[in-house]
Formats: sequence, structure tokens, C-alpha cells
Amino acid sequence: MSKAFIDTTVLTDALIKSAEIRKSAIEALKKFNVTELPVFAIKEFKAGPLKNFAWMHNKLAILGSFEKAIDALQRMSRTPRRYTTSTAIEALREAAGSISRQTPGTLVAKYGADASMDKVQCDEFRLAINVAIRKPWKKRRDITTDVVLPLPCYREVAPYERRGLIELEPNKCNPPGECSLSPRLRERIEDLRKMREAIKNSEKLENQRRAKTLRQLYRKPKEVIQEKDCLHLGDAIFVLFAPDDSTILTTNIADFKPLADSLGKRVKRPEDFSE
Amino acid sequence: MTVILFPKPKITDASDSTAMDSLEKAEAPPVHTSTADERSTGRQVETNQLYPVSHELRPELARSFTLLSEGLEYVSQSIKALKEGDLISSDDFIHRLQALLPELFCCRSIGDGFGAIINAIYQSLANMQGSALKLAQLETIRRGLRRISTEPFLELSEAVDEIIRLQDIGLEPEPNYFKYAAELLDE
Repeated sequence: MSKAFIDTTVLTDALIKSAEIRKSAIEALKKFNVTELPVFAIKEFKAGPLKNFAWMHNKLAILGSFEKAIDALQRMSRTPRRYTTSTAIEALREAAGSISRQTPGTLVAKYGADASMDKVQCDEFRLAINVAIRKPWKKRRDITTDVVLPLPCYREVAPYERRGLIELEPNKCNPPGECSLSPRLRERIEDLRKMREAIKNSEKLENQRRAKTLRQLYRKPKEVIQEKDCLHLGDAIFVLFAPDDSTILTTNIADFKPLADSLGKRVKRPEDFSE
Repeated sequence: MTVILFPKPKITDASDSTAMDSLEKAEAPPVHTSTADERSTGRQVETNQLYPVSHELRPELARSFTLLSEGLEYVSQSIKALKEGDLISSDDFIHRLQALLPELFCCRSIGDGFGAIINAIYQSLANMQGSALKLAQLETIRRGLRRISTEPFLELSEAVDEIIRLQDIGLEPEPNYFKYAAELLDE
């Protein structure tokens, strides 16, 4: 029986990306008899992609202007992929297919500012983002056959609105003492060491933090494991807890492969299953 | 089940003139709310009877009832035409629906649930890029319009269920440009 262990990037693809990417991710999941989603992926999804979407929603709600909100998004996009960013911003500004393009100016006399082009675009985008946050949250536990690795210290609370803004709290764990995964991490000291060895020379900041946390875990196993340690472990959590007979499904092969290789586990991308 | 019918209100024009005054007043939309409860009298209640002074207090609500009723009629005609094998007429009725959705979106101050469903239906049609809708898609759109006809103040979280239905039937309820935002926001 084939089994896949799903990481946050695939969950994001399946829930929130464009129709084409969503389809590719869902098709890949269908290739397996069993698909397992760890709750840790839900936590990362809420604290990552959903947080950015909530920021965009709240910016539109506060500014009440599509133009100004896109300006803010442009300033916030500090990606090195300048060409991609400018192309995306340009496409957003153009807002092709917007309902505002079909809203006749004569409606302004009837409905006031609610019919103005900027306000129509602003609300259209704000509502689409609000839906894009709530829809995946509703479907998060339906895209796989199983949801595994429960986190007793993490409460899955649906996004909600307060004063017109979207709130995602809590998006962190709230352990009474230490991280609820601690006992299971301490059982796997040798695996933690192997994963650290695999990434210790990486120049990537994320891997350096991960390597440091892994080292700390096996050198000082009695020390309390905190929320930030769990966050830094990130990809290592998926690799460590993926069943030996499973394929780890991720779009982030570069970061997962060295970790997975160190424990003899398989890792694939959704597109590897496209026909 | 007890049905409360409000007495017909006396309507006077407000003395303060606003931009909303140019809206048509208090048309009677043929949208009916009924119950399957066997103890009921079977009597139907029109939506404007449930919201009897809406045209005074919420002119956009009265206008939305009129537009929704017109839109629902187009979808029903489209479904009928499709069942009769008249694809051209079926598609043409949807053109008419598509043309009134921007004005319905101007009534979005009714609530975010209302606005989200209108937006999703508009985008679903726009993203078809001229292709005609299938029967199941038409029926799902009609279901969404009926929902906001009978529950105009529905919460956004409930509207999301209707939007998921649109997506599950092969429609794309997000604005075409949304994918660029998703790309930037997922960095």
C-alpha cells in the first residue's frame, strides 16, 4: 500500500494556489492509497501563507483603496526575483477580469463611492482574500485520508474577524511546560544527530538555525524544548516523523533531500507524479 | 411553525435627499420563502414581507431583491433552454445575468457574505472565457443566488460553503488576477 506524508508546501499548493497548481497537488495525492497530514503542517500553514493573506486583507480594509493597497504590497515584496515581482504587481494593477471593468460609471450616481472603480476593486480583492483564507481552513482536514501527529499544545482555531480585520490567533503553540513533541524527539537522539550532520555545513540561514537546534537537542536532552526550537526544526520534524514506508511529498526538495537522505527516507515533488 | 406577517407599513419619502433616492422603490420581488414543515399552512412569505421597511432603511436591500429576482429568472430560463437542447438561448440568458451582477455587487454593503457570493459568481462566469455553462454549474449558481435571496445577511463563513460548491463543480470563483497576489503572498 502506497503512503504519502504531506508537508506544508504541498498543503499550501492544494489549498490556496492557482487552479492549475491546486490540481497538480491534488492529482499527486490521488496517486497514493494513504495520505497523511501532520498537524504541524496545519500550524505552519496558518503561521505562514495565511498570515500573509490576512495582512493583505487587513491592508485593504484599513486603506479602503485597491491602488494604495497594491502600493503597500509592492513595498513589502522584498524578493530578489525582481522581474517576477514586478510582473505580478503589474498584473495586479491591471486587475484583468475585475468586476469593476463592467461597472458602469452611471452607477456612481445611485450607489455613491461603492460603485467607484477603486472601491469596487478594493472590496472585490478584499472579499476574495477573505474567502481564500476561510476556504482552505474549512478544507484543511479533507485533502488527505488521515491527519496525524496531533499537537496537544496547539489549538486549531478558525480565522475570525475583529473590527473588520482578520485575526489568526492563536498561531503558535501554548505548551503548559515544554513542547508536546519533546518526549518523542528525545527517543530519536541518533536520528537528530544524523540530520544535523547532513545540514551542518549549509550556508542557508534557515538550515544553520535548524542545525543549531538539532545539536542542542541531542547534546542537552534534558533541557526544556520551547516553541522557538520547534519552529526552527521545521522541515526536520516532517522528515523525522514521516513513516519509513512513506514518501515525503514536498515542493521544497532542496531543503528536504539532505535530511531525508540522512535517514534513508524517500522525498518527491507533486510534479514528479504528473503524467 | 408559526409565521409572523408584519402589517404593511405606511411609506413616506424621506425629506433628506441622498444619492440612494434615485433607486427604484419597493418593487415586489417574486422571491418566496417556504417551509417543508408538515405542520405549516403552506402559505408562502415573500422576501420583502420579511424585510418590510427595507426600501426605506436599506434601499440597497430592496434593489438587491429586484435584481436577484431578475437574475434568478435568467438562470431558470437558461436551465430550461439547456434542457430543451437550446444551447444558444441558454448561454444568452447567462449573458443577461452577467450584465446585472456588477450592479448587484454595488449592493454589497448588505454584508460580506452577500458580496462574496456575488463576486464569486461573477468571477466564475468571467473565468469561463465565453464557454457555455453545464447544467450542474447553472444549478449551483442558482443555488447561490437563492441563498442570498432568502438569507441576504448570511455570514461570510456560510457564504464560503456556497463558493466551495462553485469550485467543486469546476468553476473558478476567484478574480483572474488573484493568482498573482497568491504568488507574491506565498513568499
